[in-house]
Order: sequence, then structure tokens, then C-alpha cells
Amino acid sequence: MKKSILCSVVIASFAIGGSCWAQGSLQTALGVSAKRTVLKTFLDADGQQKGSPIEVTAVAFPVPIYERSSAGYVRTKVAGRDVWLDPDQLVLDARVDAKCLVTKGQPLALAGGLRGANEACK
Amino acid sequence: MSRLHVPKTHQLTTIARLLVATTFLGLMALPLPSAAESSDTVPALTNRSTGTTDTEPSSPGQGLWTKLTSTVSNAVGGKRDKPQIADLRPGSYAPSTEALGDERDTNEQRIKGFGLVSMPELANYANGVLDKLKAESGIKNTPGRVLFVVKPGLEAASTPDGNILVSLDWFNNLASEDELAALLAHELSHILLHHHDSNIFGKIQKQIQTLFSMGMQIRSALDRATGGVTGTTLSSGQRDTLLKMELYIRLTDGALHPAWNRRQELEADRLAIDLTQRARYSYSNGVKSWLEKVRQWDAQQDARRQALQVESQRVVQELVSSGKIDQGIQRGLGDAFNTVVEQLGHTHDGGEKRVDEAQIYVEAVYPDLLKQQANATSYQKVMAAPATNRTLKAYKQTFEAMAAIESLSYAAAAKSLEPVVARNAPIATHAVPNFLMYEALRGMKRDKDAMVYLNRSFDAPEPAWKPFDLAADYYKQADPSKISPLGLQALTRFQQAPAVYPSLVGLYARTGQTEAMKQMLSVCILSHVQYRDDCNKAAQLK
Repeated sequence: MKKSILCSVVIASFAIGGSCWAQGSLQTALGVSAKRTVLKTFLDADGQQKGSPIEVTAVAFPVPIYERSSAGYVRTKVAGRDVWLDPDQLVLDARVDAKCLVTKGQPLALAGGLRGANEACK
Repeated sequence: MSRLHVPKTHQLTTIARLLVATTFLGLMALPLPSAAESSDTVPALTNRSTGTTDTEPSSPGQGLWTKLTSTVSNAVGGKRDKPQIADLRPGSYAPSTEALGDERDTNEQRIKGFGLVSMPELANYANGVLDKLKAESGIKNTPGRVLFVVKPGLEAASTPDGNILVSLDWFNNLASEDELAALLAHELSHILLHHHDSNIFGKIQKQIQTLFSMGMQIRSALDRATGGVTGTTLSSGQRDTLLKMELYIRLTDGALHPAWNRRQELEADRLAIDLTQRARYSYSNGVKSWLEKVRQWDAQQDARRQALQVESQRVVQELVSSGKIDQGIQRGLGDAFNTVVEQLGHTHDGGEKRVDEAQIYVEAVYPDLLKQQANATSYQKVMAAPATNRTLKAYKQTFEAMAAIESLSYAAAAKSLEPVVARNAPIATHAVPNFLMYEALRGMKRDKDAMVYLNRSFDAPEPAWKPFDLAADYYKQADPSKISPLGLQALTRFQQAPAVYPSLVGLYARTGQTEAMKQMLSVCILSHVQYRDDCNKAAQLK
């Protein structure tokens, strides 16, 4: 309970960027990828048996991910029932342990026309 | 029918010339925005009469920026249903027109930030992954290797020489070889797609402007000498032309080139998917999970920038309410302009958009993609190797000390650095912890103890620029005659790599070596035009 309150405070304080994980969950699905409107579901952890598709509007994102199978599918709950999803359909929260600690130095990709992988500290 | 074969570099130069000529002619026809239009285009202006801050731009003035943003968005994006790798022509790698040569390129990276760090075991592993990806590209003899950059935060970049720079923090945040492969494949893709070659456009624009300015000044000098024109160095028409050129360069540097870069990022993400798929890495636990980390990092940076902006607005309000209105306006305008350029100038789309774009591409090009396990074991084994593990931990501690010094907590920084620079500690001889210890002890007024560490940072096996700056500051007080030889020593040590020039201009400017500064500034502007703005900025340092 306390953790949930703390999470709400963190989310409220940082708006974006704050990473908060639901209790007992591995990760959080923040939304869907590729602007899809329907999610394919599976009845088993191996993605062999197809379930009924779910309208994205029926899912109250962010939703916790409780389990990841060895075949790579993720288990979550939609409308109170367990479903297995292909994680590629989702945008998942990621943990990042790094900070722009200092203002000294030049961002790598800004200097001398280099190409970077992401936005640098500015 | 046979086609005329034009070598790639010539094609590029011709395109560059055409582009510059076209845009230059277009520019001459472009009226400069009026004062009213300019002020309407910034999003947060302080209202002179009421002292309030308008956060929304007024509609008529949005014209220029709106058109620009729309052009920018149209230039980026585009769907694709065939693999990006199909754009690569198999054969031998054609060196980039922007390449410096491996040794010079490595020196270039030593000067920026806080230098490089050697970690042989991790380098072997990362270069093994890189070689696997290179082999899948179908291009032979692709140059370059992985270099580790001493820098906090998640940064990675590739150079025209093919080297891939990765900040140390990335290694604490990757979960598997598949994620490492995703990062390296993205950077390798920039190299394989010759994205660095497009830097030539910006360089040519700046060269034209510099030559025009010089030509006009010579003409004015001749006019004066022959009694033609007296008084000013440049006529108002010449100044107007220069101003238009400057405006155009600012717009292209700040908005159009980043848009072009965003398109290149999209291509690099797509080629990274192709390369990692061919090398049998997982997509879900590779490119996708790496992009999700990028998304998280970008979100953190956005939140940080927003917080800085709020702080800036608070300062403006304070200045206004304390009657220092002019200063408030100046600061507000500066921030607003910077914000607009920054918004347009993001070189990478937000991580979320990149996750989306990657997924759309995968579903179109790899509809039958199989789920694969990531190879976390090999990655974790390399990361757990004692030398690598201890080095990364020591740098984490070093970055904390760096932050402490920035907040003037010198004693805390020194305490944190003590075990890092202790005899036999893994990075005891490295430049960064030693110059930080020097700064910490100087902050504690222990100058005599501090000098040992400055000397150690000079003798480090991997040189960094910062010790030269610190030594120059020291000599400014103790013996200014030693500053000039120090600068020459730096030029030799870094083998005149282009990045040395802005750093040296700054060093001379800060220490009051005006003549030496001017000399370096002219070499920089004429010979290393890609650093022109950095050199001009460095020349203003006090």
C-alpha cells in the first residue's frame, strides 16, 4: 500500500520519466506499439493457442506484466482475467540506471557531426 | 543503354554544390523576418506592459516556424516494406569522405568529454559482436572498433572512420548480448549507410559564408585604401547578405539537419533490425528492449529539460518583479529562442516513436518473426570479469565524485575518490579520477597535495583534455609564460586532431592569451569549419 502511494507521488512528481513498477509485477505495459487497435491474445504461455482478440480501448494502460514465459510471451490481466500477449504488440517500461550527472563535456553526437544512438545529455 | 559512371564522392560533391546554390539563391529571395514577426515566433515572451509571460505564441507569427516544422515532419518518416539492407551495395566498404584516419579519429574522441578508457576483455567481446554484424552486412573491410567513452549517462555514437563510441553507463544498463548487438548494429548502420558523408552540406555552407565575409572585408579594405569607401568595414548590403546567410545556417544547423538526422536514425534502426535478424539475435529482447531503454532515457532527459525551463521562467519572473525588466526580457527571449531551436533540433525522434516505427517495420518486413531467447549468459559473464567489473564500478564512483565537485562538495568528492586513486586500484592511473582529486583538493585549499594528482592525470596511459585546461588555469596564476608551450604540447599530444582547436581556443581565451587565441581561431575557422561555431563560442570564454 505504502509502495503504491510512493509510486503515485513519484509519477506525479516526475510526470514523464519516473519509472514505477506495480507490486508483484515484472514490468509495466505502458501502451500498444504501432498504433494497433486490437491485441491478439493467447491461451497458453507458448503462444500456440489463440484466444479472442481484445480491443485496445478495453485495456486500462498502464497494466502490470506478471510473468514472462520461456517462449517470450507475457502474462497480464485484462478485465480480471489472465491473458498471454505477444510483448511486441506492447510498449514496455524499462529500467534505466543512469543520470546526466554533470554539465561538463560535449554530447558525443553533437560534436563534429557524429551520429548517435539517442539524445545525449545537454 | 550505358550510363555514365560517376564516383560516389563526386556525385555527393555535385549534389552538395547544387543544394548550396539552390538554397543560397532561395535565401537571397527570402525576406528577413521583421522584428514583429521574429518576436511572434518565440513561444514565451515577457509582456512589457503587464510584466506577465505569455506561454502561447500569437498566431500570425507562427508562420516561419510552422512551415519549417511541417517541412521537417514531411522530410522524416515514410513506410517501407522491403529490408533496409537491400539499399547496401555488396562489395568493399568505400571510406567516408569525412574520415580523418583511425589514429586522428581516436584522438578526436580523447579530446571530447573526458577521454577514453581501455577495457581489453570487454573490448574483445564487443568487437566480436561487431564483427558478427559486419559479416552479415555483405560489405567487406568495414573499418572501426568499439571505444569506451568516459562519460556519465547513456550515449553512443559512430564516427566517419567507423569507430563506435559507447559511454560506460550503457554497459550497466544492457541486459544481454542481444541488446548490445542492437546498440552496435544501430551505430554500424550509420557507418554502412554513409550517413556521415552528409556532414559536407553544413561544412560547405559555413565555408561559403566565411569566404564571403573575408572577400567582402578585403574588398572594403581595398576600397578604403583607394579612396572608394570610407568608414565601415562592410557596407549595409554586405552585412544584410551575411545576416541572411547566418540566419540560414542557424536554421539548417538547428532544424533541417537534425530532421535529416532523424531520417537517418530511422534508417539506422531499420538496418539494425536487418543485421541483428541475420545474426540471429532476438528482436523482442534485442532491438525492441534496447529501444525501450532509449525511450525511458529520452523521457528522463525531457523531464530534466522541462525542469530547467521552469527554473528559467522563475528567474525571468523574479527579474521582472524586481524591476530589472530589460534583463528579464533578454533572458526570456534567449530561452525562448533556444527552446524553439531545441524542439526543432532534436536529432532523434522520441524513443516511443522509434519503438513504434521499428514495430511497423518488423511487421511489414518480417511477418513470420520467431520469438527468441536473449543471450544474457555470455554478456553477464563478460561483465562479471574482475577487471571489467572493477573498472566500471570505479568509474561509477568517479562520476558521483564529479557530481559532488559540481555542487562544490569538495570534501565529499575527495573521500569518494580516495579508494579510486589508491595504489593498485583498477583506475588509479587514469586521467579522470586524478584530475577530479586535484580539483577536490584545490577546493579544500590543499594545493600542494593536489599537484601530485594533476601530474598523475598528465601521465595517464589514455590522455584526456581536461588536465590541460586545469594546468593552464594553474599557470595563469603561477607562471603565464608556460601557457603557450602547454598549448603546443596539447597540439602534439593529440596530433592536431580537429577537436583540439575549439578546446585550445577556449584554453587561450580563458587564460588571457589573446594573440595565441586569435591564431588558433583563424586556423579553426579556415581549416576545421565543422568546429567554426564551437571555436567562436570558445573565443568568448573568460
